[in-house]
Amino acid sequence: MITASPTLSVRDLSVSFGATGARLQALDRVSFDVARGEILALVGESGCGKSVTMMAILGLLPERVARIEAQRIQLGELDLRKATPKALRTVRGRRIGMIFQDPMTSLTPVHTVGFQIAEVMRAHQGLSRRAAQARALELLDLVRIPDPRRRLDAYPHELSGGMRQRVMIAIALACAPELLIADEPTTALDVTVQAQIMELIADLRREMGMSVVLITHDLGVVATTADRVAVMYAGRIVEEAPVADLFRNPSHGYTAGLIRSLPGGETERQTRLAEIPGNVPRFAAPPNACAFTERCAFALPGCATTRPPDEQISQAHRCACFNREAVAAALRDTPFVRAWV
Amino acid sequence: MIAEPAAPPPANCPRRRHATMEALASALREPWTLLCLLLLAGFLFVAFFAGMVAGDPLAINPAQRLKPPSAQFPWGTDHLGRDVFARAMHGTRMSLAVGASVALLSAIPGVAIGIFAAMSRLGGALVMRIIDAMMAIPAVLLAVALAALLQPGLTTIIIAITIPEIPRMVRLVRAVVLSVRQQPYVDAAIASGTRGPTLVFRHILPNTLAPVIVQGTYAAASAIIAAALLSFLGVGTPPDLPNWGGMMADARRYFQQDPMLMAYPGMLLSVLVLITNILGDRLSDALDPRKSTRKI
Amino acid sequence: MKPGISPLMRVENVSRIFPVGSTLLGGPRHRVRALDRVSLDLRRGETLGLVGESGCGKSTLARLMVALDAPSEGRITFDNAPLSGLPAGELHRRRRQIQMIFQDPYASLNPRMTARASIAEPLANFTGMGRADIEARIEELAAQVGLPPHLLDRFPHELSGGQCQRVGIARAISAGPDVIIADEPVSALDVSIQAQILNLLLEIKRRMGLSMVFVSHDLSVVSHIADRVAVMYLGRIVEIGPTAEIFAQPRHPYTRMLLDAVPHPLPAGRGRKTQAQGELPSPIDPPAGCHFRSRCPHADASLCGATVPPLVTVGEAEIACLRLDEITLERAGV
Repeated sequence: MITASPTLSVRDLSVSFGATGARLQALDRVSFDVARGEILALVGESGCGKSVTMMAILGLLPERVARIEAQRIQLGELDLRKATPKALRTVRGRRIGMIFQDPMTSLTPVHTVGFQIAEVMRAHQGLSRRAAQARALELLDLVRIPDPRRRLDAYPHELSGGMRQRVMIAIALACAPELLIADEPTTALDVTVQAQIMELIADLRREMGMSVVLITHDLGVVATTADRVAVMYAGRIVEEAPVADLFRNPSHGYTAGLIRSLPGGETERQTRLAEIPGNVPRFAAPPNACAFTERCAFALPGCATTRPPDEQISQAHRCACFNREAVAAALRDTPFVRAWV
Repeated sequence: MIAEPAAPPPANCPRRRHATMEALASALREPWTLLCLLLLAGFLFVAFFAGMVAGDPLAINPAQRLKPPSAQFPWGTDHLGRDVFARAMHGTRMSLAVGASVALLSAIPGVAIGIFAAMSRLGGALVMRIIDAMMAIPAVLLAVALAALLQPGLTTIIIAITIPEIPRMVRLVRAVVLSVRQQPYVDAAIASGTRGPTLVFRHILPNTLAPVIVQGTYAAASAIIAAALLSFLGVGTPPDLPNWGGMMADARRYFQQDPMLMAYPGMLLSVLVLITNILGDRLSDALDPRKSTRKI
Repeated sequence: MKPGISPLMRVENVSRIFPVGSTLLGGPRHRVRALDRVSLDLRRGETLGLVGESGCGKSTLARLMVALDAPSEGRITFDNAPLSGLPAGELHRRRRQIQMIFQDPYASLNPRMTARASIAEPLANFTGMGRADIEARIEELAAQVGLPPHLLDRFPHELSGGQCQRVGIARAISAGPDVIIADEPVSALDVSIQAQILNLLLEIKRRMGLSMVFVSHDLSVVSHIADRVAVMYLGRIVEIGPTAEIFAQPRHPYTRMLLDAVPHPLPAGRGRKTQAQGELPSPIDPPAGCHFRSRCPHADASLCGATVPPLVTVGEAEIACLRLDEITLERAGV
């Protein structure tokens, strides 16, 4: 899957917060590529670092408190590590579009949506007012908002949650970015609307040939929409694979735990789900251990004392787990996994 | 059994009920807060022991009119030859007394009426209309009128400033109670069988107090200014009660000759109001249980 | 309903109307029917799932069932006795029997009370136990819900979401209720914690012989935990029946659209076009007749716009769709 020149390439990105002495490691050597035209899902729970990863890439973390180190953060030919704040501002919006969980907080309540979309294009592309309005209309049509001409003059509060998210997508796509970052874009929406928005994102990706990083906690969304998945836990990517490979051959204890604990598939109704014990960690684990050890059903004695290295299982599938054969074997006969074989 | 892996309890884990105390203790560790508290303590000390740190504020000495600072009169003398330093020190008393009393006296009825207005639909509507009517009258006008009606004296000033202050407190309390009442934990308490006064005193009032206390400190600060203003206007204060407003009013006529006459009480007034406001802010942070402790 | 056994709770023709906005004279500008003549039974010992999207009225119904709110029309009975319009003492006794678990585990705990104090509240209010007994019972409850005892003296902001929800569950079961109304009890939790809480709910339900109403927008969770499911749309029940039947053979077009829209971690969902279309119309001005007709692929304007579809029994399920027969035939033909 990984083509010669990925849209986004990140190597060994580490982020820590706080004052010296009491630094909290939020990201620990995160590496991934997003190929052209690909949807990469970043999966994990709150605090696992998926949003921090994106903020770090976009240069949105406050320099006072965050220390960012990386071998490489490359957007096409541009080295984002060396980009000036001004250059980063141009990158955000023009080359990288962003959509967030709650569209209401990202839209200004006092301007019409048409004005807000046009504003982005006038700022980034220097279009005239008239041209920007015309393009705004096109964009609303592109994100399949019915009756777009009338919606141009609507205020955000007059639109439903799904329509607002479509407007956000229109704004994100205004400058035809090469990368779209969608941070939990459907978490605040109803299921039937979620399905439509995810479909829209997948369609637009195809039409515009852009890459997408989809941040989510929902394995269902991952399975239906993404091409590749990176599973994050406590600031590290613990497993990364094409979607089918991940479900067919889940190899990290955490991935396995997530898949097994899903209701609605594997477990007979009203019987115990295979839960993951313990709590979601707040920050990364000690450097010389697998962060998931305490909660892991497959933990070996070595997991608490040595950090498992990233290993290639197949060309596109890597995983950092000492017991990956046992994990994969244990999951082989579960319905969710069998469905993918 | 679905137990979480039992993390061993920390060695020193005494029962913790006084989150507020802990919070206040941690607020004390901040240098700016500490400085403000020390200054406030200084004002309090001066208020109580003004007689010991300074001379007689009332002694008139026409021979020593408008003298510059000297060993005998550290801040000089005023147009009647009175000791400015002594008058300023004694003036602290009135400012602090007015600030504290107004804060307290407006908070108590304000909280009671505010809770009533929020909890009772019909009575609440009636109360709020009365409050609205009171707020339509400019506070200073109301205070001046009240002060003019009553005998001059400290009590009069306090009453005159407290009464216009109450409606503001009622409005704040009502708004906060209305929002607290929407909180899921209040629903949960009702479902848990908590009713009537217990519901108010255990669940609603404690979560209302933080903004009330903060508003109280702001009320104190504005009361100190209002008292100075009333004295400056010459209403409510008897001549034998040294106070900053009165001193500034007197100094006005001699501003050309000795601007410091105005500056001394003015500075004290500003500093006291400033630290009261800062402490109010710090207190509101400390009283928020979410901001205070950093456990886990 | 099986004859002879009366349901534990019965919701009969219940509506809840909320005033929205206000005119200059202080009257409401609009009225929203958050619930529109809803009827259902909660049978003894069962778990009834309430599903639907935002604005369907499921949470409003849950609040009515724990008497945190009263119906505008219709009535709710518990054990054959009415739940609304009770004198204070009687209502207090009822509250002990019907307890609630809330959606936001953190916000449903008083920020100034320790976990211990929160769990103690129903015990002190309902049971008349002495202080020492209450303390002992709290420790017992903590063990039952899997809360390590040293966490009892923490405040909500010092606990994780899962731990807060365990406290909420301990509080709900502390005074020995008959019914638990759980309003989205896992939707605010992290994925890896949801299974823990679902297991806990299943376990206490079984051990205490509880009946349960489980409100959720997450269909896979409901399919796992509920015996029967009621699907709601814009204040009305559109389909209600045994869980297995509804999930295997959804009959109402809305139920089908909803089930179809759920993303499953299965390969079958990839690249498939969703049938979901449109969004919820404004609850202030819902379509006349069948509320769902504006989004329904089978709607017939003259038929569906004219009448409110009644719930019709088909096997063990009840469905409110005027074109049910045609749709069933159509599908059989395909």
